[in-house]
Amino acid sequence: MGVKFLTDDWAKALTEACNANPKFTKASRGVVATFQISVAGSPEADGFTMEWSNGTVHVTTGHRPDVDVNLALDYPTMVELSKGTMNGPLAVATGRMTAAGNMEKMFSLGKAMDLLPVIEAGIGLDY
Amino acid sequence: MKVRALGYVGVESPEAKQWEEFGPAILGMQLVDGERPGSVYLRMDDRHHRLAVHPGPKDRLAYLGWELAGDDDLAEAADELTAAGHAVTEGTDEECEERAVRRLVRVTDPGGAVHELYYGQLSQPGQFQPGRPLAGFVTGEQGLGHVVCVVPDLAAATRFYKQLGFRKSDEIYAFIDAHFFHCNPRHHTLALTEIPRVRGLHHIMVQLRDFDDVGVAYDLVQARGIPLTMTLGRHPNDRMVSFYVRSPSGFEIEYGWGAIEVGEDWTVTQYDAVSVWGHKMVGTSPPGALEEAL
Repeated sequence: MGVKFLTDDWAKALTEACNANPKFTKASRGVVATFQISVAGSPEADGFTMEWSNGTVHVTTGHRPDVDVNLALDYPTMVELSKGTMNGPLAVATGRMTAAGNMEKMFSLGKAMDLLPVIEAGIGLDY
Repeated sequence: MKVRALGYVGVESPEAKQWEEFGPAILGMQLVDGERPGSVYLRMDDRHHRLAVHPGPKDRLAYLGWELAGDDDLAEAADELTAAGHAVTEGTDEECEERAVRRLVRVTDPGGAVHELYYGQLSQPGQFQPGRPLAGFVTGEQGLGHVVCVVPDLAAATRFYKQLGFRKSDEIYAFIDAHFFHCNPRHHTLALTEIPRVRGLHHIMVQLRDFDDVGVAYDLVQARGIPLTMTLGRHPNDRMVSFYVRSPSGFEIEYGWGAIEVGEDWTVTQYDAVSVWGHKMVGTSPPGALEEAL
């Protein structure tokens, strides 16, 4: 039995796994930012927040208004991104995800975001 | 095979008509008549046009036009590409007339982008009338400028472009990684950045002869509320001082001055930043006319 995707347990496990990953820590160093990801049609939380702070990230379910970057997508796309069968730029290019806000912070964290599928695979998730 | 320069670029966009204002009034290009109804043709120098914006359902790169020296070189290039396993098709008379070239052949790269190799683009000396007062663009043997493209497989794209005669200028590894290539004295006519399963156009760079013309455009963009995406800054590799503005068609225009030139003795280096100073990203949405790759 794995961790249920987009639950508080998932957020806690993802936070711990990211911050224990040296590549992730290196890729996110030097950036302080907050991302809001809204997931339409989710069977669990319909959104989560990633608070980046100079090499660490804290993931929580729910929504916050005061963020640097807003990403919006549907649940099937979110699952594909989590599994690594889709990437963020492709999701945007094909209209499956919208991105708005501080592009400098978003692109600065792109290489850290690219590591998320590998990190999530190590957690063992139930979708 | 030796591509001489980037001669023209064709894009498709639902916002083609907006270029009738953006091209002349902001970029200083000249609106010229063309063959295809609804398309916008923009001149930057003696050549008939350098940029064509065709109406289409989404913002996308339609073709890149690569100039060869003459008919013998074009025939040789077509043979070499065919021998390398690429499907090469002959441009129709109508397409040649529309591009204002003597002959073109078309080939698709490994990621699905369309390339037109041509010779004999119509040159009309003395005909360029900039859309607003400016000293002109750096073109001639350096072509229209440079393009930065997204490719799904950098290694495969590099092999393709080296086949066209491109040589590496340098590499940047920062928040994005990019490889830069030249085919004439312009430091880079082409840059490639890899995103799996994605292809398309990130930006087109045009280089001004006079730095003040960059400054005037910088003021114009901000005064008219056109989305500035990167503030004025200097790149470390080509030393270009430039800013970036979002075009009506999703991709960006880098509007710059003062780039260095490269020669036969050029040595490839790498950089760990995209800018020496400035170029603060101020865009609020992702750039590019991107689509799913082959």
